[in-house]
Amino acid sequence: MYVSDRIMYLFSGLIVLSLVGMFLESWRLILYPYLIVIGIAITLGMWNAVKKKPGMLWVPIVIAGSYLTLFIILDVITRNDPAGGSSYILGMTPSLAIYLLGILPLAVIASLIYALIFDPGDTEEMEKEFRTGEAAE
Amino acid sequence: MNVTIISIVAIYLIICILIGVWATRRTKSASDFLVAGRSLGMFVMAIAAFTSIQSGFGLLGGAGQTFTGGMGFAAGVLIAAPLGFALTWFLVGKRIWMMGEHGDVFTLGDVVEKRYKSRSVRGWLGFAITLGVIGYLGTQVQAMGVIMHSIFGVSPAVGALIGLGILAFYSVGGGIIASVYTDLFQGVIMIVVSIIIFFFALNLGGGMQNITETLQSSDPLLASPFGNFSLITIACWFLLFSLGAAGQPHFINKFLMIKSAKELRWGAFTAGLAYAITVLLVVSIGLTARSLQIQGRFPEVASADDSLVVFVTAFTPSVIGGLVLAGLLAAIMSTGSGFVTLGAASLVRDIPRAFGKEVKNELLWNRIVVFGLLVVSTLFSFYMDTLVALLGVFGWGTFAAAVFPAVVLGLVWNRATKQGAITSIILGVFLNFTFEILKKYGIILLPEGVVVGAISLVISILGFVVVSLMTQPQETAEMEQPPLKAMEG
Repeated sequence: MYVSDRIMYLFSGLIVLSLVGMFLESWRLILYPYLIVIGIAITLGMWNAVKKKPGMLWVPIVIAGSYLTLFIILDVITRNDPAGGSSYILGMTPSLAIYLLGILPLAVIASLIYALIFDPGDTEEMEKEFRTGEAAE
Repeated sequence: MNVTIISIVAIYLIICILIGVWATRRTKSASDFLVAGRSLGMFVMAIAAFTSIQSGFGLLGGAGQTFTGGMGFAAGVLIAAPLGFALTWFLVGKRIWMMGEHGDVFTLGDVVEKRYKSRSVRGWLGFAITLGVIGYLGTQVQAMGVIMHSIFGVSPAVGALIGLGILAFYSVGGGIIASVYTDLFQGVIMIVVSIIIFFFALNLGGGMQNITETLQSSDPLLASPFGNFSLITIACWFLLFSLGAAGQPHFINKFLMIKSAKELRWGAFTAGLAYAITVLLVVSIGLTARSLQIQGRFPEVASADDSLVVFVTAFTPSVIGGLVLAGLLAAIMSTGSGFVTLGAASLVRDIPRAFGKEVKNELLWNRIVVFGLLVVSTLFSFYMDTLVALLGVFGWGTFAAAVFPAVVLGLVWNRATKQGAITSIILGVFLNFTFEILKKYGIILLPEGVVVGAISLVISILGFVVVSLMTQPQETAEMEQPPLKAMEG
């Protein structure tokens, strides 16, 4: 019925890693565990839907996985050069293009996924159950 | 200042006042004042949510930071915030809405009292929100002073007072109804202005590639997503401004205002897209202004916060300049109005109820407290006397650290206890204020680059989990059915 404690512990464990990253002054140790936290947080939020349809786990996996992929590419291409290369993508350096054309829109895509998987029937059922429960009190 | 700009801004302010008058007539009860009578549709709620997050520090401070240091601030703060909308809708959208369905629930204090069956949690949350409101509202006051100074030529202090007077007029009378409908008007202005200015700024800079090459000729880091900012700071900001969005009370209390759960569906997308569009304004103005400065074509600015205003007044046609400045005031005032009603709700409803007292005539007292909060936050902003962007980060951090664990994690994790919630609230407030005040006096305890709000958020989350596990979770067994249903999500 409720979110598994294990997911919460995983969430907390990753947060601990980010905290360690802050004290060790390692931006990678702050950021990469946090990108997984994004997926865990979405799983926590939609836990009821995941329990009913385990296949729904694609949502947190795709969102967190996309963030991880984009940040890893950014990390790799900026290792020796902050621009990430000498070419231009729509007038931007490759690293800036990844940020503005990849990471920024991904946030909007995550919101779009929320809308697309939103089940109005589930909501009506929820409201009905909720009001029935309240009346029964 | 140009007459056209003054006229456009004056018309904007008059429309805000008129919305305030209309909202005051519609506000007849505490429910109207605090949650708009739970009557909002998707679009109004989503735009109100977006404008409550995109504020003076995001636009004015963001453009200033981009101008001086490149993209790092935008990469860490502004590009993370739209993700915050998605995370918040996933985590607590349905849950907070359902809690609101359960009777007399107007504030987050009401939500946590039902969740934890504890008046103490309500009281501590009310205390934390009040402190955060004063700090964060100070940012808006300061930003308003900068804009009013530029438009009307008055001193920043007098400018802040004029803006506050108008804000007070519509917030005192119309409460959250005035706030959300001025937000709607203001949000539309911000979106339109951002689209116009984005293309205008790129054109002025000779196209994106020309801007990039100019920035690279001065400093290659300016054309990267990190600018001259520390990567540690950017990583901390990214965490704080995406996950921490769900802890912003002036945003998540909007879920209590919508009329039906169906309205949740497109809200995150609408708010996230609107926010992402306004990021274009900050990035385009910041980078173009810096590129112009490198070419020796940009006037000297006294403070980074002035760069946006100088850009629009010196380089854009008066109509666009007027619209941008009106859009900036819109961002500031929309966030400010949400804060004052939130702070009033804490002081008039949550804190007294935590002590078992109920204020009679809540509506009247809410109006009086709104006025008082505006005065106190003005004094606070003059005391802090720091850059708008930095003051904003402080306000955001306080809310994130104090509210996220107790409210958000509390609604998704049934083993959370009231002791855990209280611990996290106290830790969140204490760490933010202590670190910031020590920093003001030159005492820096944290590793270089680490953001106070981010470390406070992380520690308060861990405090919440550890103390909850250490204390007996009796609340779950005693909890009423509706809050349990709401927690299922």
